[in-house]
Amino acid sequence: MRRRSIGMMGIAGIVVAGAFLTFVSQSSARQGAELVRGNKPGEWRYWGADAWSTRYSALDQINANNFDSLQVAWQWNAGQYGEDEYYRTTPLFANGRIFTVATTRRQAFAIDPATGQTLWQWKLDEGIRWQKAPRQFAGRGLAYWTDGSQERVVVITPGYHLASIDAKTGLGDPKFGKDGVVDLMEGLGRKLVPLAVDDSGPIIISEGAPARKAKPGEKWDPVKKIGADGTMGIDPAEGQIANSSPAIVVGDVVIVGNSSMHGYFPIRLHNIPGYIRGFDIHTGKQLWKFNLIPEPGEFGADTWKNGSKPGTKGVGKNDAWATYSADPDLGLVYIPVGEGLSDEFGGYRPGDNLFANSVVAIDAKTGKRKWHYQMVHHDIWDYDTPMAPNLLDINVDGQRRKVIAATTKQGWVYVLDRETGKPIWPIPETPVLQSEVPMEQASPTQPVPSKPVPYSQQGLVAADLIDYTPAIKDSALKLAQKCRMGPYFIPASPENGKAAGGKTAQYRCSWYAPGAAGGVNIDGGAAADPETGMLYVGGQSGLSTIEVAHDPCSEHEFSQPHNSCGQIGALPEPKTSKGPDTGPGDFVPRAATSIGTGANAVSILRFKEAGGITAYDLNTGDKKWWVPNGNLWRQPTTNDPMFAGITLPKVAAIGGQPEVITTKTLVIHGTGRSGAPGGGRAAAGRGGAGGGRGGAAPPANPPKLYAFDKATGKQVGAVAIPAVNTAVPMTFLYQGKQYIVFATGQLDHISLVALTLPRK
Amino acid sequence: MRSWSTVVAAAVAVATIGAGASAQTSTKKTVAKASAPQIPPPTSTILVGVYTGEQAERGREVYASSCRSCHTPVSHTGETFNRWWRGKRLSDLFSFVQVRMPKNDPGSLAAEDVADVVSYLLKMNAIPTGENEMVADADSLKNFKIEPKRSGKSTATRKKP
Repeated sequence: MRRRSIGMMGIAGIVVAGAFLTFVSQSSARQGAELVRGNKPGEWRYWGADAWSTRYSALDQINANNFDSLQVAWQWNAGQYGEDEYYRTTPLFANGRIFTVATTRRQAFAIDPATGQTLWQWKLDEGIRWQKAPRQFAGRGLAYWTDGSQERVVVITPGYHLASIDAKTGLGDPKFGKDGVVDLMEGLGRKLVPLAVDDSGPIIISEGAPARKAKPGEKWDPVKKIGADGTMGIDPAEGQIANSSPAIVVGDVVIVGNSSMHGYFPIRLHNIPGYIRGFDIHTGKQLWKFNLIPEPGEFGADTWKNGSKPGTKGVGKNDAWATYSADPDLGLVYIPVGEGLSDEFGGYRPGDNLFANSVVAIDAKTGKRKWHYQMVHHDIWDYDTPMAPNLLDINVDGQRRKVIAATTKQGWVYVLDRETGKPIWPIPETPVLQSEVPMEQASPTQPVPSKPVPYSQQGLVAADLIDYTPAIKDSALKLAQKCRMGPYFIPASPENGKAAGGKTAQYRCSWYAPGAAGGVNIDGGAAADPETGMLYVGGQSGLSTIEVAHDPCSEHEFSQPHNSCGQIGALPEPKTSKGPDTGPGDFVPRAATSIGTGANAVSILRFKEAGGITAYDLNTGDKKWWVPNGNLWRQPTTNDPMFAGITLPKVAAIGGQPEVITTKTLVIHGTGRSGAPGGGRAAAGRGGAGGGRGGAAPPANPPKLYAFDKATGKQVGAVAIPAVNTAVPMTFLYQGKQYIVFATGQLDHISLVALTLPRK
Repeated sequence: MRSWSTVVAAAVAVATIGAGASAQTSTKKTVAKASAPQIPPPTSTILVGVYTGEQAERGREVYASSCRSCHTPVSHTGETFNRWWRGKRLSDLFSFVQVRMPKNDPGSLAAEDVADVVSYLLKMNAIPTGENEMVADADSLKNFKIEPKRSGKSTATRKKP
């Protein structure tokens, strides 16, 4: 095989014993009629457990009485197959096998649920397409399809290919696309060109060092690892397209979206728009395409006042990079959509920018939009929709309602009728602050849910501040007033202090809560209990600032402060530039969120139940209980005389996004990668006892998996695990035993950890 | 044990600031303290060995977990690194990472993680290691001027027979 040719490899049947095959085939024959929300009870066939993304399992073998006795059944070493960033995958379990992806190449695997042995491995060599892939990691997972006898595992690769793999053998389905693979860069109405690279590294976040169209006759230089390797793709000058979340299967249709490059500080003023497409699971044929940036003449195009044609300045992204949900009975797929270009500046895209920051309900068979609901108009806060919405059936005022609950970075749950998209409780359009940044036209109003209450700090107003004494109140207010305050949706301030029309801006920073991490983000999200109508949201809460500046080597007038000068593909540095005007300089943060520093730091925010896990009864929209991440608390202390005699309230000990699932009786969660600083990293890092720094004290919060009574929020268990979970866990029943499996680690020490109860 | 200043509490402060920022806080106490002496210019540089190889290796783990999704090494090595940091203090780099990073969740790294990841950044820029670990406190790093090593020729050329 030629060095970078596109090829597939299946290593099948490594440890498949005869008895195992018998079990599988008997089990296959029983499939079909007994599916619940697209999932077979006791299995985990979708990223979010079932098509509804409930993250719910009715299993109860692992319960409050025995949770603490959970043991490691096996640890599957993904690092033997290559490195990853952090391992962010939730595996699937279907019909007697675990399926997962792993490593930066996003290889697919089947694993024996009882032993943790690899059953088969699949990978695709994607040449330059992989080298310059904007999402070069294992991604969130994969999809599964079966008709009761045939079974397929569906993977979207980093280089943007769609693969349909025989779940039994690990070999590509020969009837699907070409040898089991469809090139997702085809079918978008764009010409594919030969690709080349000028360096051997990956692409840079600003879109620096991208691939390019090859010159005629250009060859591959195997020593320098540059040139053209024969790979074809969309001309990178048009933008970048990739994927990091699994497809979702509805009937025989595989629904696929895409992600783009991050939009923090892009160099180019245009990018490839987001698309949702349906493919036939039997043939790989593209059935339909839905434009997430409506093209001229399509519904919603008028929400792009400067035009929406691809290639127009400011047009790009609106990528639905998160996981999806579906209602197989209604035949609808629910797409959470990201934001436009760029994340924190929308000066080139005046208007509401549909379908950015929306949930779009699409008919899985036809690709037609049934409804949409936009949660943020003209986003300038990086509030892209980060998570598959949860579907539930609830009783509202005596009526059975089919709803969708979208958890978001904004810290609100948007509860909508999933047949019509209409809010269950009013979400009035509310006037919001306007931007001081030149060119920016912020939306005059934003939809603000009246119910349920938010799960994260919202903006910053005087009532949020500590006020134990007049002096403390005064100090907190003075710190708060250094940046622009408001109840929510506070627009970024110009870092250089220059407002539109050459005026001096009132502020050079704005309070940012929730920030770009949410709220809910990639790592968090909610579990929904279809039996009770409860929703358990894992999120975080914080307070930071937002400001925009000009990157001298970018086409954008403003972006998040950055300097792209010197990168391949960046604009040449202006001669007049005295170096970066946005550089960190003698770094002094503009705003402090604490009175005092170091061990004496006391937050200016009064204690509030926010972040962690918030339980809502969606039948009423009421909040039921709250615990901080891991139910871990700490007592703030200070020797500042201003606080003498004041007993400060306990606060959450750690931040990060709890990664939540729910079972018959429990809410189970891990702290997530940022949840156990030091402790989790040390254990994950070197795997040795103590891991971390020599002579240092053991971590305050060693890695654990936690369990709570789902009705009351009372903690009922906490079990030590080898390293912090880095993705949402999953659970299933196999040969009479319930397992909990989760991903952990980064670089070459990545693994899946399986927990189960000890033998009696 | 990690210091409270860097704990990100779900319900409380996120970007608590390093000591380098105390001049910006407005409590009477800190203003009085900070308005006194100017910080003297650094008398040493990072080339004396301000971190260890083991620390940089730990920093590589933090980097993979918290930084890599937005950065590639080239975005903070060589020319880019020089452009931003040459002549600044090591405490500036430390505080910048501590307060502004990760972009997605600023202030969420423990101080020790910040020191480790800053060590890894220095390692990537071929700054020599030393015998002692970098202390996880901006105040202690003020005296070291950032002086990037000149283009990476040195070791490669020397190794040639």
